[in-house]
Amino acid sequence: MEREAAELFEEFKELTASEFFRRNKQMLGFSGKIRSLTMVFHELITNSLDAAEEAGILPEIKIDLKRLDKDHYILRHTDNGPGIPEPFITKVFSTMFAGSKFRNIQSRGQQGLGCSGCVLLSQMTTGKPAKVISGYQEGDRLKGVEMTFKMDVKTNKGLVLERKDVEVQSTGVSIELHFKDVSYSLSEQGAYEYIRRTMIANPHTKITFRDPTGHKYIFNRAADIIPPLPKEVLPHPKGVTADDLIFMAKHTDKRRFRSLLTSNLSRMSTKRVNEIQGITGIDLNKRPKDMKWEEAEQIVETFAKMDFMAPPTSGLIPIGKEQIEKGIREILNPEFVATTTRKPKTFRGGVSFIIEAGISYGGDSGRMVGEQRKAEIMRFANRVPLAFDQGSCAITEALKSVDWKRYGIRDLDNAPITVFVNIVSTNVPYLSTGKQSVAPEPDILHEVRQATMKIARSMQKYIRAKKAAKEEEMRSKIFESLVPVIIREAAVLAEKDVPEYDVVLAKVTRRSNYEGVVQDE
Amino acid sequence: MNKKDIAVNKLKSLGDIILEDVHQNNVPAIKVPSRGTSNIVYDTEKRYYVLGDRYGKRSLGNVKQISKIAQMVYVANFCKDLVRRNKTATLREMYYVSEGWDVDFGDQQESNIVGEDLEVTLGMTREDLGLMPEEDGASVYGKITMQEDDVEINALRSGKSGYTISPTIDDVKFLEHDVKRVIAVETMGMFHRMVQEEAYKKFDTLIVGLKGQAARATRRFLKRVNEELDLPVYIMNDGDPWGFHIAMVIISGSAKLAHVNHQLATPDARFLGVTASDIINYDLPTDPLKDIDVLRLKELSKDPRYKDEHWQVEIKKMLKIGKKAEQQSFSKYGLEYVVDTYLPEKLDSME
Repeated sequence: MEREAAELFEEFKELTASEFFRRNKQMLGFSGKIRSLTMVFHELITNSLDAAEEAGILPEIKIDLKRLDKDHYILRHTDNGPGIPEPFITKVFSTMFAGSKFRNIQSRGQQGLGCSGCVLLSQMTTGKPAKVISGYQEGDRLKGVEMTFKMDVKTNKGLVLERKDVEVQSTGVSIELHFKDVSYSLSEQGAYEYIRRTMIANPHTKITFRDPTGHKYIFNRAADIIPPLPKEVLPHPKGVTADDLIFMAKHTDKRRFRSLLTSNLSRMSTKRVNEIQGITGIDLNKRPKDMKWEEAEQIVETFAKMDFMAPPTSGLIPIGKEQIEKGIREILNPEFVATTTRKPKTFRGGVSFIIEAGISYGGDSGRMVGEQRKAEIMRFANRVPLAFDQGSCAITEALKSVDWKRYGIRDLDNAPITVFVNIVSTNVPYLSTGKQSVAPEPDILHEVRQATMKIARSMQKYIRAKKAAKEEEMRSKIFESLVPVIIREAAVLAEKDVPEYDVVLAKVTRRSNYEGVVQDE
Repeated sequence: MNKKDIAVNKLKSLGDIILEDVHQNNVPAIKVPSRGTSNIVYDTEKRYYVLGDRYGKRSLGNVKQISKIAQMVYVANFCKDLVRRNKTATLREMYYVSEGWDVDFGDQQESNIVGEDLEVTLGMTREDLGLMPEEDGASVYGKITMQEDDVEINALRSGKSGYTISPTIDDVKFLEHDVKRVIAVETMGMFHRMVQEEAYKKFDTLIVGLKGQAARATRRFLKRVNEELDLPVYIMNDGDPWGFHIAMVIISGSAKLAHVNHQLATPDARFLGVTASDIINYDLPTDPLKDIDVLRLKELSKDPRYKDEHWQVEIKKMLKIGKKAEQQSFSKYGLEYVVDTYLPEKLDSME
C-alpha cells in the first residue's frame, strides 16, 4: 500500500543541539574514560580562565575531584571570575551553542558548547542534576545564588529544580557535577597532566587541585600579568567566500557596495576597490543588496589573484617568550630553558598565526618512563593543551623532522627535555572535530621548525658548556690527586726529599690543556 | 758497577728527572721511546731489530698522560725494591701488588704495558728490573756446569729432561763446559730423540729443546753461550714457515721486543733445517701447504730478516713444491736416521 508523503513525514522531527550531542557525545571529545574526564577539566578550566581575564581578574581555580566508587566521581570546580548573573546560569550550563564567541577572534573556547557538554555528560552517565553557586556583582551588591538544575535535551534548555539565595564571600562560579564512565589517570592524557600543561601556557593562573587520593597540588602563579584580551579582526580578502560577501551585503547598513568592502574586510583600501572595479568591470557603487551571486564569485576570484598585505595581527595575543619561560621554570624546574615567540605569519594565503616555542632541559623536564626520563612534546593552541591525537599533528610532525643530532640530542625520544609549542591564531586549522591536532599546513610546519631550531641552538650551547665545565672539573680533580702522588713517588724513587710543588700544581691545573711535545702516540 | 747497581741507578734517575723539573718549577715530563711500528727498524749492521730515535713525551700537564706517569713511577719504585732485595716478581704478581697503590690499572694488560714503557725508557730488560715472565725457559742437555746462587748444576746430570732454563738465567754463571756447539730443536720430541741417540756425545753439543716459540730466557741463554762461550748455535725446526720464524726470532729478534733485542738476538745462530731442499733431497713425508702457510711464506719473503739469498731460495722452493715437513719426518728411515745420517751430513755442509 502506498503511503502519502505527509504520512511519511509524520515522524519527521527537529533535533536540538543537545539531543544531537547526547547521541554523538564523542563529537564533544567524550570518548574513552580518561579522555572524557580530561575534556571536562578542559572545558571548565578554559571557561574560568576566559571569564576571569575578560573581567580583568587574575584567575584562581580550585578543583576537587572525589571518587565515590569505581568510575564514579564527583567534581567540584570553583573559580574567582566575575560570576554569572542568575538569568544566564542555565544558558551557560544547559544550552548548546550559546555564547559570545562566534566571531573572528582568538579564543581558548571552541564551539561554545563546553560547559553544557559537561553537564550533559554528567546527566547521561549518572542522571544526577548539576549544582551551581554563582557569586556576582549586581550594582553595588554582591549577590549569591545556588541552583540545582537538569538539562532538558528536547528543548536545549535548563530545567531548574531548586534555587535559593546564598551568602557568598566573593564573585565566582562553583559547579558540582557527578560523572560515571570516566577515569582519573596520571598519564600524559590525564586530567593532572592537563592542569600541569595549562599552568605552563598560563603562568598568570593559580590552580589548586585535590586529587581522588586526597593529595593536594598547588600550582602557583609564576606571573601576575593578565594577558591582554584578543581583539576581533576583520576578515582578510583571501579568507572570504562569495557566500560571505552576500551575507555581509544582506546585513550591512552601508549604502554602497564599495564602502561595505572597505569597512568589512581588512587591508581593503579605496585604491584596491578601484582596482577590483577595473578588473571585474562591476559597478561597485551599487547598493549592497543589488550584488548578484555571480558578481560576488567574480570578486572573490579577483581577490585570489591580487596581492594583499598579510592580515593585521593585532588580534593575536601570544603568551610571550618571557611568560612561557616563567611558566616552564615554575612547573618543570629546569636546568636550562630557552623560549621564542616568532613574528606573525600566514597560512592558506590569508590566515595569520604566531608560533611560540620553548625547550627545557634537565630538572623535571621530560616524562618519567620507569627509571628513565624521556622527551615530551607539549602542544598548545591558543594556550590550550592539546592532549590527544599527537600522531597526526603539525607540531609533532615538525618536531620529528628536526635533525636533533645537530643540536646535541642523539636520540630525541630518550632525552630529558620538554619541547613546548603554542600556535596562536583566530583560526587554528584543526584536523578533526576533537580539535586536538593541528593540520600540517606547510607554513605552519616551517614556522614550528624555525622556532624549535632556534631555541635548540641555545640549548646545544648550554649542553656543550656544561659538558666542557664538567670535563674541566674532572681534569682538575685528576691533576690535584695525581700530581702529589707522582712527586711523592718520584722522591721515594730518587731517595730524596719531597720538594715544594705548589707552583707546578698550579701551573698544571690552570694549564690543563697543556700538552707535552708529543711526537708519537 | 754490577748489573744490580746499574738498574738501581737508572731507576733513581727517573725520579731525579721529575724532581729536577719540580725544583725549576717546570711541568715534569718523561721521554718514552716510541714502540710504534714506524719506530722499529731493522739494523743491517747489528742484524736485528732496534728502536729508532723517536719518542713521546709524557707530561704531568696532560690529563691522559699523567696517570701513565703515575703508574710508571709506582712500577719503578716496585722494581727498585725488587732489585735491592734480590727478588723477582712476575707481571701478574705486580698487577696484584698494584691494588695497594694510589693509581689503578684497568687490567693486567695495562700494567704489562707500563712495564714495557719502563723497559724502553731505561733501556733495560724487564728481567734486569726484577720482573719475570710467567713461563719457564726450555731444557738444556749436555756437558755444561752452571752455578745458580750457591748451587752447581751439571746439565748432563739433571735427568733425561735436562736442565730447565730459569727465567732468571742472567743470574746463572757458566762454570765450565766441554762442547763445541749448541743445537736447538723446536720440539721436545726431537729433544728426547737426540738425548736417546746420544747426539750430545756424537756432535759434542748442547741440546736445547725450544718448546715452540722460544721464551725470552731461552733466547738469552742461547745468546750468552754464543757470546760468552763462543759456541756456534744451530737451530733445527720444522720445515714450514712457522719453524723458519721460530729460528729467525732467535737469530734476529722480534719487532715487538726491539728495545731489548741487543740482549736477546743471536745474529750468528744458523738454521740447520728442515729446509725445502731437505724435503726434496731426503724425499721426506710431507703435508701440502695450507693457504695460511702460503700467505705466511710470502710475508717472510718480504721481511728484511729473510733478505739473504739462502732464505729467499728456500722460501721460493717451498712455495714451488707446495709442501712442508716436520722434523720428525726423518723417522721414515728409522728412529736413528736423523742423528746417524741427517745431522752429520747437514753439519758437515755448514761448517
